[in-house]
Amino acid sequence: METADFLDLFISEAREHIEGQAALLARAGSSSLEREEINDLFRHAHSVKGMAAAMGFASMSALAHAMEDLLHQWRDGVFGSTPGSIELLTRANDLLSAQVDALVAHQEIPSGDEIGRQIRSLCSPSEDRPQAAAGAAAAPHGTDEPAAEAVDTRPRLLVDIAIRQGAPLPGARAMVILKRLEEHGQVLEVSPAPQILAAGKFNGRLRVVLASRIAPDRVATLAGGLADVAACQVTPAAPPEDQGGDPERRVAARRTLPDRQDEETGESTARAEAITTIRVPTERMDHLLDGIGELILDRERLKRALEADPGSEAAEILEGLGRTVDALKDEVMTIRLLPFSSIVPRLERAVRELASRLGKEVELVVRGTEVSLDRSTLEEMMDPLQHILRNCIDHGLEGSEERRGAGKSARGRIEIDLSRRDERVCLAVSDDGRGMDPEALRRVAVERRYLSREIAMRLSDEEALMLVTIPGFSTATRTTDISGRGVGMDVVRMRVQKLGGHLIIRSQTGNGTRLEMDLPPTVTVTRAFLCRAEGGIYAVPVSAVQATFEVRRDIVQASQGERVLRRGDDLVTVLPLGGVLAGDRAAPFPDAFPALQYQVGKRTYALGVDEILGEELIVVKPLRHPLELLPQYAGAAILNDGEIALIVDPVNLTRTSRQP
Amino acid sequence: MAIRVLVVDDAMFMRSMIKDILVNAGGRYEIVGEASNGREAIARFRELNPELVTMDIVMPQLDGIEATREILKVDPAAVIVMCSAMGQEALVVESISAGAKDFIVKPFTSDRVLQVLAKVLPGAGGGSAAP
Repeated sequence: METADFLDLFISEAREHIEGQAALLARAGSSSLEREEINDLFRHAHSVKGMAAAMGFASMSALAHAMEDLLHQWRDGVFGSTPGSIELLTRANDLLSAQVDALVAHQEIPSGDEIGRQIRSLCSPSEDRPQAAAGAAAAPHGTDEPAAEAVDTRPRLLVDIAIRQGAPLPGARAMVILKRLEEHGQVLEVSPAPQILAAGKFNGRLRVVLASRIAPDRVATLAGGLADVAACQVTPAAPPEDQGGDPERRVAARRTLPDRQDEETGESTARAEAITTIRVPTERMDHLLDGIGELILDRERLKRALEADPGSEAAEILEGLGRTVDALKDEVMTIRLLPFSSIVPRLERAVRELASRLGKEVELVVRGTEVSLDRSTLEEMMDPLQHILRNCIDHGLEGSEERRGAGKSARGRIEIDLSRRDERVCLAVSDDGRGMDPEALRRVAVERRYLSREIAMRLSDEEALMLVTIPGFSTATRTTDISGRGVGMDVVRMRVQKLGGHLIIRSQTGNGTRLEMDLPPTVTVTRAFLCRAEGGIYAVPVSAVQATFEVRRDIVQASQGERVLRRGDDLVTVLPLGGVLAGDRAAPFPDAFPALQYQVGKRTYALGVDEILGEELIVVKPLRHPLELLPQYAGAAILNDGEIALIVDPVNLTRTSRQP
Repeated sequence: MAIRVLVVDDAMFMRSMIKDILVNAGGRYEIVGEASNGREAIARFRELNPELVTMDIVMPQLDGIEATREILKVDPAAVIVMCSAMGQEALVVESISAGAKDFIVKPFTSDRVLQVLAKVLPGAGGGSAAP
């Protein structure tokens, strides 16, 4: 079972408990709490503790646990609440709330240790659960009355049971075992005493004297088959009449020794809880991934240095090393993945708030929430997604009157779809609002002198729609506090590009808008073509390239201000990589050159380079400010000889070179 | 025939987790009902007569230990498994003394839950043999 599936439910239910607790604490103020209120508070804390533990959020669970313990003592009347302690619980509850917020934002969960300690210092140092321990002591098979059972004449068996190390609640486990044994005979003697079992000080070794007619090996089989029993030994004990001497003393002696031992080892036993989940700061994961990146580079370098013959031992070892490193990389990449569902509650909340602020009825449908993305990608996409939702609700979706007039349902609909396409993730946000008009966008672009009339007319509809991603460009006529003048779409495009993705806008006037973003699930290590162009070395990700081929200049023709060639059925627009990067799209080509073919929307392009040096695994390093603002570059890579190559994103390169 | 289970927990989150585990156990279990407090648990037990009850300990109105006692008065053969959090050893010991058959500890793992449940059911070799 994936606990991640329950994250949404966890977050919403934890919030309910935290809010419930906040309300009770606020009502209490400086006056003392009613018993029923303390009960409610206790239950809230208890629920949060259990849920957080189930999700592996240890810090949250520990803090709720401390709160629970204090409330428990109030409830039992060990001592009452004071204004100071209510204030402390309020702060603790606020911290729980902050922890949930951090969880939602994928930030590091703030520690509750300090406030937990303060709460614990208020708790009475006496036994944790006095009344329950007393109840257990009154259990029917207490060791205090073996004499009364001495009339039992069945053979006596000494049952010696070791409970599995790390079994949860070993004392309670021992109690279950005792109950089972009672079904097969009379329990005459137990070590350690049930009080020890209930107090969490049990070391895992249970000894029982059982009066039973069942054969010892059969009892051993029965007991050995019980949950958490690691080992079980059953030996016939001397019958009662043969015990001679002083049976009371014998029992006492047997009981005393292990009890003392229990107290010594009790602490470590209690701590031996099964830990199945750990939380690690993202930074650590980044370091780990960086290390693996270096390892990959070293492997490539080693391969080159050794020049091992195929079939030689060195080649074999290198191959094994390669497989191990790849597996390691995949493992780390997978650990970094989070399902999209983890940010859905935040999106839902954003939609709810915006819709109510703007007085619109909006329904949000999210599909494909199980698709996972790198944690940092998901984090980076949060802002752009909120921008997009804002635009949908503020500009895209009409008011209910207008919608009815257009024959639509009064309630607007926003859909978020996630799907996996090859190695990439496609994230689409669509609304059924009024849509955008490419013609109007062309007109505005010309009016505001962003484009000349000729260029504007040459833009395809798809390209015209992309005009809204120019900073400051918008067709919105109203200014609101929600999306300003359409500010945001430029930010959206930049962010998507920075992540190595692309943004496509589709829209039909009157029928809504659809924004499609394709994102790499992870970005850090990738395969790339290393190319030389204008003296520099550039890397082009293999995933972006459809084919490589040789071009002779005489097959390149001029067409509508571009240079094109025919390849099969495709008309391919050829761009010189070095020229485009230098701002000269029309730079001359040599007589013959290699080219990398790729697709932008429906058009096919090829990047002409001086030389393709080869295909290599590269580790992508993000560019530092202000270079990150250049969309044509997806990052930088350090090559085997220590040189740095800029990583070219051909799609963004093509688009930026066309923009005025 | 699937084993009919009543799931008792005041947190919907916990009920969902348990249900998820049981529903994915290859058709061995069928969730026939849920209850979110001890009082409701007793009522649902009388009404549904399930073969297995998973019982949270700390719940509003009536806690799981009291509910266990009451249910065992209705049906002494009822199979009740306590759902406990870490640190509740005393409460679990009390529950077992009261007649609960076994316990599972939050955070749950699927394997663990199924293993414990498989052993408490009559005929599963979990101590049902007569002496």
